[in-house]
Amino acid sequence: MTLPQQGNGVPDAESPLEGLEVLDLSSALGAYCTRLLADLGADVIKVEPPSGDPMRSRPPFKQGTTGLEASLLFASYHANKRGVTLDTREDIALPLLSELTAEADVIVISPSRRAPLAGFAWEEPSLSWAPHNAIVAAITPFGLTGPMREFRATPFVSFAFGGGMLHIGKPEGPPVAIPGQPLWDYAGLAGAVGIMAAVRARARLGGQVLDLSVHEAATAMDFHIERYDAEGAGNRGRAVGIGYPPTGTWRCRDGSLEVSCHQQHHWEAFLEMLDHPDELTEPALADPLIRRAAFEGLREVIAGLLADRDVLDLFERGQAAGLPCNPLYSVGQYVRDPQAHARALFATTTKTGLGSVELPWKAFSSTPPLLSLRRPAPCLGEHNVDVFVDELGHSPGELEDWKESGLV
Amino acid sequence: MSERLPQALEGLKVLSLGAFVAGNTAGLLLAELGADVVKIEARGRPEVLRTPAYAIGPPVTDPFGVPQTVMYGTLSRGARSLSLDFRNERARPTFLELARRADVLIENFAGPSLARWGCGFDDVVASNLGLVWLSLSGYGRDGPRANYLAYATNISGYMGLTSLSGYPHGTFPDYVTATTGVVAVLGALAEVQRTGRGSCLDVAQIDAMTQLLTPVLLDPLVNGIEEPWADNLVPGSWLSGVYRALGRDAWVAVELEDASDWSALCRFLDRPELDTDDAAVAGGYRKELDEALASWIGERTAHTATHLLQKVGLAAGPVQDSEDIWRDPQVRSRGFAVNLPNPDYGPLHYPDSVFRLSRSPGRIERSGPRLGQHTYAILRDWIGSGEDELASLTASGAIYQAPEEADAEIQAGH
Repeated sequence: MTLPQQGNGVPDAESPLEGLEVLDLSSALGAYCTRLLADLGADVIKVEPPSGDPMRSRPPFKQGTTGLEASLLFASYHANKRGVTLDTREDIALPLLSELTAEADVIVISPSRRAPLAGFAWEEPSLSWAPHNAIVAAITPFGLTGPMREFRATPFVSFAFGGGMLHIGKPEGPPVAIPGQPLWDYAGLAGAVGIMAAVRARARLGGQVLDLSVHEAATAMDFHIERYDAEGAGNRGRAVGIGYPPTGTWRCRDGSLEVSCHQQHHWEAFLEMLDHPDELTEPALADPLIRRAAFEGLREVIAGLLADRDVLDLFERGQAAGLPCNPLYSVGQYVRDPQAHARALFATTTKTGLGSVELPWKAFSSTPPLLSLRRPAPCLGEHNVDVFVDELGHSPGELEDWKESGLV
Repeated sequence: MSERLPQALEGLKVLSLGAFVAGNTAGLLLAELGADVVKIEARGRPEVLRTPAYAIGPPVTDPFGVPQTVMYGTLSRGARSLSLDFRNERARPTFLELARRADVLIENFAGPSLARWGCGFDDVVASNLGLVWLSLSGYGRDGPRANYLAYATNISGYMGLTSLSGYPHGTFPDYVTATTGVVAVLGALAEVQRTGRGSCLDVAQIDAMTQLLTPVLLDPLVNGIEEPWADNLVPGSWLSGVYRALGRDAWVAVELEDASDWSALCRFLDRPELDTDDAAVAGGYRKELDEALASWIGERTAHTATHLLQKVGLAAGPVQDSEDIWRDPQVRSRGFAVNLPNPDYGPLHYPDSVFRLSRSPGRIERSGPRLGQHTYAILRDWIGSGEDELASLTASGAIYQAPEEADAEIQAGH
């Protein structure tokens, strides 16, 4: 099967979710979820507080730029969305929320104690102003029910709660989080799945509420519940070495090669990568248990065989032989490697306040192309006139009044 | 049993040749939402996750000699098992008949072999234009590193995640890629509804993880800057860290996002002299507040420290292990650990579906199937195979049905 190349911008992409109206009232918790829906063609309106979404103040920024349009993070997570401002905390926002959502198919929220949402009550999680046939997706750190539902979390703190952090880091030192907001985005992926499944079933089932908990998405990974139930395993520590030699990381002339040798044919591929060196021809070494027993001696031999080699040459030779191996790259080396560019994983967008920047964008490839990049992330309040005046029929004077009162 | 609620993806037919964590997880998510997920394995070559190397607890076999593990049983829960051997020529037309009726096909390693057997993408699409074919891989199916081999740890190393923290995260890219794959599937199914045309989805671990690593890729990508990444330092926050608590390997993560958090912690620790709403001033006090917090947490258990910090509205959490998660009041209160029988390794708790939809909640009704447990039932349901045909295919070795009577007896034992 051959897959045609899909370029940046994907001008002739299909838009599977064209016509789907999505109102994004969420925080960073829903940012990736609604961007995926937007990438698939939905019309997503991102609603920000009049002072701007907090992500606008988060680094990294484009060097030499400042202000509310300088955050590369915001530019990435909110590409393809339109943007309006509205202070959604107080009841005074209710009439406009009703109007904004009257035609909405999907409403994404992430209410919290710090960022309450008018018309939302924890006691009876529902939205007074949401149309009955809308899909309301709440993406929250712990879910809408339960004793910890109002606990505060950041992406960093979610990582601690979720079970993934304990196994990353030095054995003696503190556990380490994956930077960014990976678990929130993972929940965002699950949210997009739940939303699209509910949209697909809407003719049959009508509107529904999706209560998606980051904590559940996180703890469902890596067999925590199963493993504890099966064998009472709690803390498995940090330096969990798995696999048989030569699995691991090896110094080369100009970098390090990481090798996974988990199956019999991987050992054969390893030998093939090195042109069957005399030092490793002993047939007994094909047995992983023997390799493990002999590892101390073998380590030096293998280290010697790799020390003067060029890491990219070994990467290509190893892969050609069928060995899962890779250079141990820095993120900078990764973004310069040709593969991500060949797959157009980064797209150049031009945004007011930022100029032309290359941002991570495309979550997958397909034939036909299903993802399209149609617009950069909105400037603060960029679509207030489009939405409040042109689409909802209010007068420019009303919009001015709302601005003055701080509502918009 | 309570009344069965409807499910969002009821009626969706999925064939899965997905293996390992990523391949199985994609099928699992669709099964949770009500799809009929049919997992295909050959009797002579059970999925690798069934083998004892992947056992959690003692390795077991079913009464017919096929290995079974908790890891397989959890990742393929909700699926039905059809055993079919592509190396047997008579199996191939049967597979093509199934594929003609499928809405979705999932594979991660099987693509090239399927093509060789006349059961590849082009062969299947010829009779099913609306098929959504999900191909999961490490590096993708095109580009100079097309079809390169990888485990999730290799992806972590290649993308810079391992260098960033000094340590890999074993399976996270697998779950992320599987879920991205299911997003792609549902997008493609919407396209089928719109146009009648299916899609070939090429979902690579590097694609899916590039999105989730956006915050660390932006500086190298846009600014050409590559600063070393300090462990547990959240850029833009006033303070963040993982602090040692009472007990063995016990820790608490705390993050102060802004001035109001900073102020709240100063008040809580009774250090008014460090209170300020100026970020630059706070930066100068950071070491002092950090030490005060470390010493306060050091005298408490992780759960007590978390509880008291949360009570004053701060973002704090224990670094949980599997036992903590098992006991977690939120997990318990929401009934997230569900107990299901398994005829071979016994009853076990599994995570419930994360898709808590009010009218059609995701759910899992069975643990992973025995190999070939549903072969006959699926062939009858999907393509109307008659008894003679089933017997003949079985006799030729093209398919395998796990003996049902023995199965029923063992099920009744639980």
